[in-house]
Parts: sequence; structure tokens; C-alpha cells
Amino acid sequence: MSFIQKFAIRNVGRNKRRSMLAVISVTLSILLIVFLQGLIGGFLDNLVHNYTKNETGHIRIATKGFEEKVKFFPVTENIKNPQQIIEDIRNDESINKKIKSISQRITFGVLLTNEGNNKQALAYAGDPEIEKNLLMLNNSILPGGRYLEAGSEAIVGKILADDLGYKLGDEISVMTQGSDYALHLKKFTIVGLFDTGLRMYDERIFQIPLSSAQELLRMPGQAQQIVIMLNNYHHSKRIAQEIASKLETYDVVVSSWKEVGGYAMWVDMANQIYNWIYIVIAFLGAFIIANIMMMVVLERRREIGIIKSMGFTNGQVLSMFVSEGMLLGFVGSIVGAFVGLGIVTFLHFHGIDFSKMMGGIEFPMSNIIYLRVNFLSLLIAILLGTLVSTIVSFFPSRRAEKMKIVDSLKSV
Amino acid sequence: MPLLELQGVIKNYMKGEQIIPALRGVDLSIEKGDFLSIVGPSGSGKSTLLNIIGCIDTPTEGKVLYNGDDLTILSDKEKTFYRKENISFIFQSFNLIPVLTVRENVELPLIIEKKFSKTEIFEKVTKIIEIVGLEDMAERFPRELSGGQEQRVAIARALVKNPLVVLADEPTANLDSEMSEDIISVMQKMNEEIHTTFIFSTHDPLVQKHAKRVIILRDGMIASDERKNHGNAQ
Repeated sequence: MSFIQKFAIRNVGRNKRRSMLAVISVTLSILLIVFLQGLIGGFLDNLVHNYTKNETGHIRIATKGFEEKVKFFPVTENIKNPQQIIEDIRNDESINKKIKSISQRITFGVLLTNEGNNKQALAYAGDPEIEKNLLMLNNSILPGGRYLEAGSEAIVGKILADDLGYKLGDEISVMTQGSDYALHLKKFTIVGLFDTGLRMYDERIFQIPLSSAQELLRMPGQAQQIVIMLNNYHHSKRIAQEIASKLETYDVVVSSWKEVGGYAMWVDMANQIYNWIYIVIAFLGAFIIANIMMMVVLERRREIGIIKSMGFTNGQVLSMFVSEGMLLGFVGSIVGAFVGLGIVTFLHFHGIDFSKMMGGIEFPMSNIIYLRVNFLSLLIAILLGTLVSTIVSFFPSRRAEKMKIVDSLKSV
Repeated sequence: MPLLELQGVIKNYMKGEQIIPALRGVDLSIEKGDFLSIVGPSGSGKSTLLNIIGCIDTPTEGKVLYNGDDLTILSDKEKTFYRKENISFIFQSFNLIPVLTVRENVELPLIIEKKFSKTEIFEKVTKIIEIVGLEDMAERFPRELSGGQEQRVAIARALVKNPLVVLADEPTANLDSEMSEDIISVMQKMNEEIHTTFIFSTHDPLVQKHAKRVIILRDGMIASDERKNHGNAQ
């Protein structure tokens, strides 16, 4: 440890109450940052999770024609050989180990009618077993019902069913245009009603098996999209590129969730806004250090004169005071980060229930948010707290650096 | 060549629009090994003269030569180097660093010099602490010492690096006569053994009694300059 560091540590201990105040101030700001990082991370993870599992997957494979008309969910722009593509991806061990699930999916819009009530709805068709891990609607089936097994079965959102007057065991008639441009009709038996808590899904979605949808839409063995979920969605762009190069011979487009749909932009924007908010909070917390350092410099004018008269350079005086501010910031950041980590870890497992706030919101967000534990964020928070404390200490320390020895020695 | 030479040194302070003269043209030569006492009433310019010699203040006019080099034209960095290499200060109010122990306070000038290993620093500090009679107090903090002990630490701190010049501003002002005698004898010993130059600003007759040369300042000018050993007043 250099003499200046030793000196700084001793000086920090000189007025314990004042140093404690500075440390507490930084602790609170870093604790708030770590908590907010966990909460916002949890919100965004939840948003991405819901959005990707229901809409795009972490990676979506589709034809170019489908991507161009995606908002209409066209059933005429299909992948002709989805099973072959899935096998090719699965056969690549380096890609396969990063994948959680792959599902063929068909999504199409219909107008449902029952006893004079009409409502627009969206059919999600996929392999029921794979979709268990993807849409996870099996977890939201209301008592008395069950999840899809096979054949002409459907599970329907609770609000959608209520609006149209459907009950368990009823039949719904789905009439829509197929891939051959002709109208087709098929009846499905409602075997379950689901209540996800997400209004935007519960009031407009019903799920049917992939095979039934292929039959209804006259697209045997074909799929509209191949939806891939990864073990870590943060790597989606890179893995999408790897898959794209693997599938060069197929007439398909491979896109990460960030490239399709509007939520990715929202997530990035939210991340950037919150990063700025974290910096502002860190500065607010460190502001008290600036005040304390100013007091310290004025109190120790005489001492500054003495050490300068001994040959301490201006730079050494500056680094001595900056070290004090940095030390206060570092201790406060460490304490704040670890207390924050404790709270975030607890809420990572237990979650925060926002059901009263989320009830009527048209947003793919679950009612219970589980906070994200991110050790990199923790490290960044500690560095941010220390750096900002160092920056705010710099200006009072400059005053010490610039003090004239003769004036300093005259002060009482 | 004298060790230090002041040529026509004038120092004015500004108080608002008013000019307050502190030194009004001081010419002075100081030889290596001088044990010099500057006396005079309050406001006569004693401390200002020491500050200018120590390069912690600059004259309004005139030159200060050290071994023939003009100190008034040095940059801040060069002045810091000059102080670090050649000068030590002893202050009236001791001015020890309260968060450092006796040993650490005395070590400070050697650490700043960056010329010695840890072992060398330890040995030098131990020796000087013994000379000032504080070997039992080495690990104590200034708040645990008496005024006399504090001043002894300040003297040890000033002498530990064997400076060429020691500037002492009223070093015995807060001490009783026994303690003053003690401390002056330590400085005399250094002066005789290694020819350290001591320049005191003082009112203390005891310091004047031991000084080889006494300069009386009055109204910022040298009123008399008496060299006792040789008996040649200027």
C-alpha cells in the first residue's frame, strides 16, 4: 500500500461520523441501482420471455414472403420442408446444445362466431408436446379442463370464451382461407380454458394441434414458421447467424427476435434510459461526498501547507484527497451492492406480485416479476459508485492542489 | 559563494487597494553552517523573510540566490524540488499530522524524497527519534504527547533528511525554558556536527543567546546584523 493510500485511509477514519454519512449515502444509491437493475432486468426478461415464446421465438425461421407480410399471418407463404430443416439444425452439435426447443408453428387470424356473437381471434397451432415448453398454456388451464392431446381439440382463452359464450366441451367452428386460397371449415372441441393473466392473450388466442391446422389450411407437412427458443436469449443474434449459414441451401430467412417485431427496440430503449437513470442516481448519492470533501479540504488547509512545504507535489496532494473520496465511494458501493444483491436474490426466488397493477394492461407481462440476478451488473454498480465518487471528489481536491502554501499555513 | 543570498528583496501584500509593505529591501548573505537568529517585533517581516527563503512565498521585487541560482524565477515544480532537497521547516505550533504516529510523522520527509529503502528509512528514523529522546513514544499519536514532545517530533521530522537549511519559525514559543534549552542543544549539535544551517525567527532570548549570528529586523529592514563568534557587526 502506498503512503498516500495509507494516509487516505487514516484520514477517512478521522471523523468517523462524517465518513459514515458519506458511505451511507453511496450505499443507498448503489443499493437502489442494484435493486432497479434487478427489477428492470426482471421486467425485461419477463417481457422478452412472453413476447418471444408467444410471438417470434428467440429465433424465427420463415420464408421471405412470410416476413414481408408478417402482420397478416399469411398461410400461403410456408416452409415446405420444416422437418428437414429442424433435423439439419439438431444435427449440428455446437448449435444444438444452445437450443432449448424448436417448434413448427402456424398462426392465423379467424372470425369466431357463436350465438350471434362475433370476435376476431388468433389461432396458434403447434405440436402440443413441444408447445408445452413454449407457450406453456398447459400451466394456465382452469380446473375441469385439460391440455391438448391430439385431433380436433382446442384450448381457448378464458376471456375469449366468456365473450363468445363458449363452455368446456362446446364445439367451435373455425372457417378460414387455406393455402389454396379456398375457404375451409373445421370444428374443434374445447377441452380446456386457459387464464394466463395476460389480457392480450386470454381474450384473443386459442390453441389447436399443428396437424389439425395443416389439415384445415391445406398445407400438409408444411409450417408457417419454425420457432427456436435458446438457453440464453442474449446470444440470439450470433446463433441466428450460425443457423443462417447452416441453412444457406434452403429458401428461408433466419431472424433473431431483435430483428423482428417492435418489442426489441422497446427493450433496447428501456435499457439505455435506465442506464442513464443509474448514472444520475450514482451522482446523487455521491453528491454528499463532494460536500464532505469540500469541508475536509477547508478544515485541513494548514496540513496541506505543511505537507507541501515538505515537498509534496500538487499532484500528490490531489491524489491524496481524491483517494479519500474514492475510498468512501468504494466502501459505500461494496456495502450497497451486497445488500442490494441480498434483496435481489430473495426477490429472484420469491418475486414481486404486480397483479393489481397489471390487471388491465395490454402488455405481454406476467403478474409476478422475478428479479434478475446479474453479477456483471453488480460489478458495474460497484465500479460506477467508485468512479462517480472519484469524479465528484476531484473538484474539491483541485482546490487543495491549488492552495498556496503560505496562505494555508496562516489558516487556523 | 554564500549558501543563500538575498538581494534587494521587497515584499508587499495587498489589502484591498492598500499596499502593505512587509520587507522593504533586504540584502542578506547566509553562509553554510550559520546558526542565525532573526529577531524583531511582530510585523517586522521575520516570518515573511523565512517564507521567501523557503520558497513558499515569492518576493515582489529582488532576488533570492541559492548557491548562485535565482530561486525567484523557478516554476512551482522546481520550487517543490528545491524544498524537498534542501529545506526543512519547524513551525511554532508544531504542525504534526494528527493521523500519523510519531514514527510516521518523522518518516514523512524521507518517503517524499523517495531516495531510501524501507530499512534505511526505519534506521534513520529510529536514530533521530533517539536523538530527540522519544524512543518510547515512537508509536504514539501526536494527541498523546505533551507540547515539548510534539516540538521534538517536529524537530526530528525537520532533521531526519539532513537538510542543508532548517527554517524555524518561533520553535520554542510554546515550550518551557528547560525544554527550549533541550531542543536548542539538539539543533546546535546538528549544526556543529554536520554543519546544517539554522535560521530562526524568534523572540526567545535563549535562542538569541545560542545563536552565532543575530539579525534584528525592524519595519521590514535589517536594523543590525551581529556575528557573535567573529564579533563583526555589519
